[in-house]
Amino acid sequence: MAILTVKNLSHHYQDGDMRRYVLKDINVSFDLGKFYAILGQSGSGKTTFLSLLGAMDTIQEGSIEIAGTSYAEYDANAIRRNLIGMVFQSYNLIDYMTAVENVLVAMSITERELPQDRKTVAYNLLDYLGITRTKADRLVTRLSGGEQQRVAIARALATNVDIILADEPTGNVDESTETEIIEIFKMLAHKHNKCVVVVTHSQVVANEADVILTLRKGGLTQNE
Amino acid sequence: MNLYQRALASIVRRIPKTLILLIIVLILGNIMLSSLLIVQSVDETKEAMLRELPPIVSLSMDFEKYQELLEDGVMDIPWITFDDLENIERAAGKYIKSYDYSMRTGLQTDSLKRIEQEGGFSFGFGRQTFNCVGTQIPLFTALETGDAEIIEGRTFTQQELEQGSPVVIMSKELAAENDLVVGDTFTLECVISTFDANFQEVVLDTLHYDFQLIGIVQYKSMPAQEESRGGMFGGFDFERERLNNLLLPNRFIRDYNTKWMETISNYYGGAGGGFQEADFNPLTTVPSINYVLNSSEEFDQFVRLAATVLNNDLYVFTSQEDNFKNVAQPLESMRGILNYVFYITLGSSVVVLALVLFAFVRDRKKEIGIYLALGERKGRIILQLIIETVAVGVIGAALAVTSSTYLASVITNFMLPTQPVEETPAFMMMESVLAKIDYASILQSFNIGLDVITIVFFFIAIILTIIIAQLIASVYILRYDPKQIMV
Repeated sequence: MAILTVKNLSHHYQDGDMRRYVLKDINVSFDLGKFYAILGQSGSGKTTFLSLLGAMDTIQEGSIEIAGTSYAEYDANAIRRNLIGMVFQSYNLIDYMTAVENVLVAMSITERELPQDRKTVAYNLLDYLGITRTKADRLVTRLSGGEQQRVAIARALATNVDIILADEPTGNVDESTETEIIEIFKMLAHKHNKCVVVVTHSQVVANEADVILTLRKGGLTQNE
Repeated sequence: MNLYQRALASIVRRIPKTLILLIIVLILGNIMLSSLLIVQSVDETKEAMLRELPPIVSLSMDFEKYQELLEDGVMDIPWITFDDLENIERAAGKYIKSYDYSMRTGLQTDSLKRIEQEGGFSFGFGRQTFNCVGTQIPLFTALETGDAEIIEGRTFTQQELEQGSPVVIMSKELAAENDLVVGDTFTLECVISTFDANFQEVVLDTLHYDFQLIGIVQYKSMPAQEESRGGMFGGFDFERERLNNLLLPNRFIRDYNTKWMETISNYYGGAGGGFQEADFNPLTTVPSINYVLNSSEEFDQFVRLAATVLNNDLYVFTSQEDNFKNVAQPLESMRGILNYVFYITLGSSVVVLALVLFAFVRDRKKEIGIYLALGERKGRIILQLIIETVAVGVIGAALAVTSSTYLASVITNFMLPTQPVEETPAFMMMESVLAKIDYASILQSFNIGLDVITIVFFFIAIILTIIIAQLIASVYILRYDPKQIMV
């Protein structure tokens, strides 16, 4: 079943008097339980597309629906708070907080119903993703890149959302960590029935995805 | 990790930035609070001292203006008249409790012994000369202000004042010098004389007055005067000279002065005789008209009405407050400067804190973007930033409260001279019913202390400044989408 449906989505940047379209009439849907990889060259609009999916940018033309309801009917903040989890290339963790505190921040912001003992849930989630209790209590600046990315994934999962969007999640990590992160995403999609959409340059990541989409000249094509 | 815990983590884990903000608030707070403290202390000192003084407004001639008129050759000096006084009373009577003025004359006699000065000063043609000080009402100004106290006998009756009866009140020292007690009568032979062409005295008339001593007064000591004992009056003790004053009804002095001028005038060949018409106006000998008001708070209303009715800019109204400002000039100057310092610091604080907080918020742009990406509401992000800065600001303000009293004392010691810039001369202090405030007693009353209202006001000022500055800085960043912020 499609959890996320994109209809006639276009996005442009104004360049003087010129409108330069980075996305043009995109129609695509994303299902639960699948791991999607979106490939494309630099400047192809991958990040813009992900930002629009993640309600971090304003939709100019077309629409995006989440479980059949248009984004237009939601407050963008509420979408990010309750319906979508984001993972970034540069982790985007709050540097004066520990790993577990970063996870707890997301849990304190969401309005979704979560277990009472959030701290235990956060520790368990981190542990599940390979961050031990000792490391969970460290400031994130004292963790390696791979560990920080796991914390970022844990944060995205902490609100128990169905959709995980990741922008170049393996861009700053070594090959072995890349493999581990890919495994996490596959596990989230296949075992936990999440819809995982990853924007990437990496063919390695793409090869592990269930569906590969390529952005080229503003259009999105699905690779068979 | 709710927003309060986030704010606390930010404060305790980002120590350098917390310290920078703390130090800025501490410095600005200290300057602001110490200047406010001094301004307030001056005001409180003034209020406290003025509360102790009777609500008197003195109407007197502006001597500088008078000098200008003389230098310009103006003959028609606009002297104050009895009609003027009646008009003032009619227009502003509701503010007046009583008013008094004192006509003056000098009596030359050998019938009384003066209390002599150590330097051996004498007036007149070898005779004893007494300064006669008139009064208009039973509770005359010196009694009203507490400058003198009747220790034996009584004051004048209304009838004695109206009739100009030869009844006298004198100092206990003068009474003792002449072996007089209340109820005694004594005769004064008063000589009216002038000079001839060879500067020899010509006695024109000798008047005999049978006076009755009805009261004995004790004068309150004047504030210590060091400077004014020197100069042109070097060695002359005005306070001691006051003991020779004879207090009499104005009416008596007026009649005596009229007689004196008529005698002199006749000697010089009838009307004129060197006198101007104005010399026959008894009010020209009056140093000031002293209005005792019902309340010192009605000073402005009274002066506005009275000045409009009088419409004579040769005369000025002076209140106890004017007098305080005059004596406490260094304090008032310091107050003026620090009042500006306070407002400048208050304005600068908004600018400096806005700039610092803007820099801090810019530095946390990514963090704000993360919160937005996680779906946090903008209002809650601003609230978190405000909680952080206000918490640090309150700590800084609390430290400023404890240190500002000391700083205010240092500033005061640095700025305030221990001696007055200009001391009221003793003879002026003798004449003025207002000039009983001296610099030393002002300094003694001056006390720097914090009151609860100031502290509350200061905290509110600091908190509001921080909130406004933080709001401006936060809104500037938060107007963007999270994607734009995180780029």
